[in-house]
Amino acid sequence: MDRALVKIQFEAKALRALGTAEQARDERRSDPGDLWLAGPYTEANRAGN
Amino acid sequence: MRATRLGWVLLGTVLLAPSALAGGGDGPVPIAEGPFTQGECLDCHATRNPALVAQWRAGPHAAAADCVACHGERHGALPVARKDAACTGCHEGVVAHSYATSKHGVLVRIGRPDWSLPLSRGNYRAPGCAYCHLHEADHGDTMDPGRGPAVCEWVCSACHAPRYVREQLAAGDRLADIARLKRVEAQSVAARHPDGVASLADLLEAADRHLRNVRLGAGHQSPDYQWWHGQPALDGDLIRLRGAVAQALREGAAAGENRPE
Repeated sequence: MDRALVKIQFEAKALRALGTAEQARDERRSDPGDLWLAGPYTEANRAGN
Repeated sequence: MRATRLGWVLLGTVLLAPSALAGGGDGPVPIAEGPFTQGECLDCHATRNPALVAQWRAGPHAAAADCVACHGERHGALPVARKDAACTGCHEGVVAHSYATSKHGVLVRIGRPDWSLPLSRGNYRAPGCAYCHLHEADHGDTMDPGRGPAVCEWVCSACHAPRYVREQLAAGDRLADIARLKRVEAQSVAARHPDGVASLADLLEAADRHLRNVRLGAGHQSPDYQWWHGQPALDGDLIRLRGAVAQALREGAAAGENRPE
């Protein structure tokens, strides 16, 4: 359990550092939004909803 | 006295042997008890019941499970082959667990079925593995989708109303269709990873397992496998895949911009 927590903390820290660096650079986080909103299941789900 | 009894037994054996070898059908012909080898099983049964042996040869078990594996080495072991334990010795893991946690599996476990009865309509309150998959001594797989929905509907409708059966099967098909869409989406998301799909092989294998869980859950009517081990697990796979790809793209973009000109 402790090892899992350490792994999560490490990954969260890396992700936060990435976001902070992105914001410092151009004041926005680059997030490939279409990655989260595209795909056959997502589209079928959207149509179904 | 003992010698006399032995003499009668020997005489009986000699008199009965020709009729047993003559292959007079599957009637109650007294024959030796065994033990038998696989070859000896086939020597007789290929003549006595060629259709059954041919079905076994063409079916999924021919490559993995011989006569002895399910029926044991001796005659009179049909009840053993009908029990779930005969199947779960090989079909372990999620296959057995998805059935054991289904309502069917629970009912069989608490219901103490009479395994001496043939796997026919009306003989069992709840279906064990063999009741559905080896129905009426089927030696292929009765639930093979290749046989068409009518076979499946017929087996289920021994206990359930036909309309209910059709609705449940249609719901199972929809569940599986949705799960397959998620798996296709997982592949398309993984394809966008800068290091290629192979770098996400673990997550894609997990998605394969969870897709299988949905199908097993639908087939065995196990809500745990349809849902907790199936659909939400696939949703989690998609989230983890998207997270991994998004982070890799962001890191790649950051590294590209920081590169000295």
